[in-house]
Amino acid sequence: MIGKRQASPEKIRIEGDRKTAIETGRNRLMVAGALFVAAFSVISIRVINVSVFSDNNEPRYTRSVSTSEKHTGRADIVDRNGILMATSLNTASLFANPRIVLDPEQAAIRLATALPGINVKSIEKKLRSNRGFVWLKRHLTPRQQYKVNRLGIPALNFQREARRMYPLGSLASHALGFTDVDNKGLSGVERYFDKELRTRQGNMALSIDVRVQHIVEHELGLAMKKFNAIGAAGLVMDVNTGEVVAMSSLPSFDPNQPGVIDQSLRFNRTTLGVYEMGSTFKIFTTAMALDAGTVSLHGGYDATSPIRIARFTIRDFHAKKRWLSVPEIFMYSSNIGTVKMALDVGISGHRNFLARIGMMKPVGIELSETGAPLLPDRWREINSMTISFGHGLAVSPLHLVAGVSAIVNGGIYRAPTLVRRSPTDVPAGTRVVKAETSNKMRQLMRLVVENGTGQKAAAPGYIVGGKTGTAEKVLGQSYKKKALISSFIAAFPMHKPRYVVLAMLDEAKGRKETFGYATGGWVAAPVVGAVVRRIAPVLGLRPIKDTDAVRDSLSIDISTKTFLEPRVASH
Amino acid sequence: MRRATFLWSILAMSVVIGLFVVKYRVQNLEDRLSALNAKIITDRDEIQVMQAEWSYLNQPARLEALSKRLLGMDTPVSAQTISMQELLENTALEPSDTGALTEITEIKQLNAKPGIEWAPAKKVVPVRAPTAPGGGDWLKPILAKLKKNQ
Repeated sequence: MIGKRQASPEKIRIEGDRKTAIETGRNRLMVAGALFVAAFSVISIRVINVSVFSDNNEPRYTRSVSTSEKHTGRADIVDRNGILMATSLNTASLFANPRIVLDPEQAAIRLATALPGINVKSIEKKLRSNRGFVWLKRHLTPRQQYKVNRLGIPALNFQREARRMYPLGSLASHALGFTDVDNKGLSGVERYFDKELRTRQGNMALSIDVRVQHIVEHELGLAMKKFNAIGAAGLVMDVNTGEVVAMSSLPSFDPNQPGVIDQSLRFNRTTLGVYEMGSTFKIFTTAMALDAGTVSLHGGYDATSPIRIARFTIRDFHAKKRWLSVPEIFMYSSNIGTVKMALDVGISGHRNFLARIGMMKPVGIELSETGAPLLPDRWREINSMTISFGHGLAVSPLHLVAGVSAIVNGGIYRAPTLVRRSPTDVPAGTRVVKAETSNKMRQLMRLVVENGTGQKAAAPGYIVGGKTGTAEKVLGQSYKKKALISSFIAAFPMHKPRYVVLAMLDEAKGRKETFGYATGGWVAAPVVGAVVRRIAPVLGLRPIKDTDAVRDSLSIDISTKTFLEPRVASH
Repeated sequence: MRRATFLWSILAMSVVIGLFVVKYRVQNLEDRLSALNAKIITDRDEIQVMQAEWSYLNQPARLEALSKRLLGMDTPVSAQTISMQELLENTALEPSDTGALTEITEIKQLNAKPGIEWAPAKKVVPVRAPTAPGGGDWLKPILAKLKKNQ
């Protein structure tokens, strides 16, 4: 271009006024050009700045759903094998803006055709109100939503809302608990972990195994019906980890209908209810005496005559009226012998031992509904005597299960938990009795099922051992004669315990087949036997043939003095 | 000069057209993304519903009733289970029965390997009369033992 211009032969010369006019024009052009250059460079700098240097400041049109975030809302609860127990489903809730409703009466009537069961009057009243927002019905089914949409009423709209669902129905309802319509936990694990379930992503695994839970609830339900009991409680606990594998309190409720749950059904008999447990406490008394060394397995006490103290008389239910060895005292569930055992250890020793196995304070489990034990106001000799056979100290069934777990697992107490523990994550626990004492207690508990009061709890191949318990219910100041708490606590397999099983029936009535008895051995022991027979294969336990090695490890010399008595209790 | 202007205007036009094309493509993609997002959310809801339904249909009480009614299954008793060890110990082998022999030696080898655990407690050996003559011969001693135990 330049070359071409230079090459042009003729040059135009302009002089005078014309020249100045052109000069002025040029200068103005230069100024205008400079202004434009300045303006454009500002714009281009801004463009570069916006497009290159500020990367994320611009809001994007859409954002992709991240793969890591699951659904918003409450976290799911699963059992120890990952089976869904509680989940949040998105449903549509119907609301209206009453200000733009044209004909409230007509709208209410038409809504009633789509949503049968609603109150036309109250809906009409809601639609007449002078507000911008009213709920008409929460959590519609997809079919109802479709029908409402088809009505084409302009003021109606839907809001997506999460609703808590429990696909397993009433199974494990007391452990799980339930939530209200705004998804706030009201009981059970739902309440205890309310905050965590709201915030966490991913599932929460409980220690419950729904298969075992079902078996326990089923068998307890059958027994409850058979013996006309007003309630029942069942627990299965892993003795080595402290995990509660099944927790059942009957009657149960359906957590899917939080509005209609009766207050009495919400009562958790396994943790909130405290009961005088009766003879099952002899496990603790005997373990304490053996551990303290005040008596050995070969020792014994005279149980010929009842003990009279103050206005009480302590008798034996299965009275033998003779000297009894320690295994016999345990096997025949002798109150007299057990009282003497406790007195030899002493009052403070007795109290300290019960404190060590957790009988003095609420159990530390992940539930808000835990009952505090009912302790005597002043711990005198009479208290120690009655508590030795399970009267005068009321604890929850979970207390008993946790305590017995410690006695049979080698002597380590671990607080029970409802949250699944990985095998590497088991707390060390505290030692409460010597391993040797634990061994002896296993032999004694096996004896009860083999020859004593708990024979109905036998489960061939799974070597069950346990202890019966029957207590009269306290009503105000006195005991109710006909209202019994019948229980059986067992562990299996007894040579190397894995699980403790408890069955308890509240106010069971005797039947003809049980000769009118409603004691632990008659009503609760068969439940435990049936439960063990059914849960052992589920839990992957191999039945053990009664080989000599196992038998020897559990055999026990019952009596050192008398061999004449038949070694089988009458019931 | 004129050619330069022409070139520049061509360039500017193509940039403008390119920009429009890209812009519309981005918008299309964004629309697709939001549609996919909505689909993901509804799919997730549906999966959640199906999981709940799966759990509902797998209620232990229902499964128990169904397996009792349709499959004739019942609570296993300890006599129905047998450990691999017992099976091997009690199997009297006939020299002709080479098929079973190799099978059992294989099992023995597997058994000897650490890390492979046999869980016969879960495996229920159904007590049936052997149907095929010859093939079921090696089962006879086991069945006899089971009968004795019962």
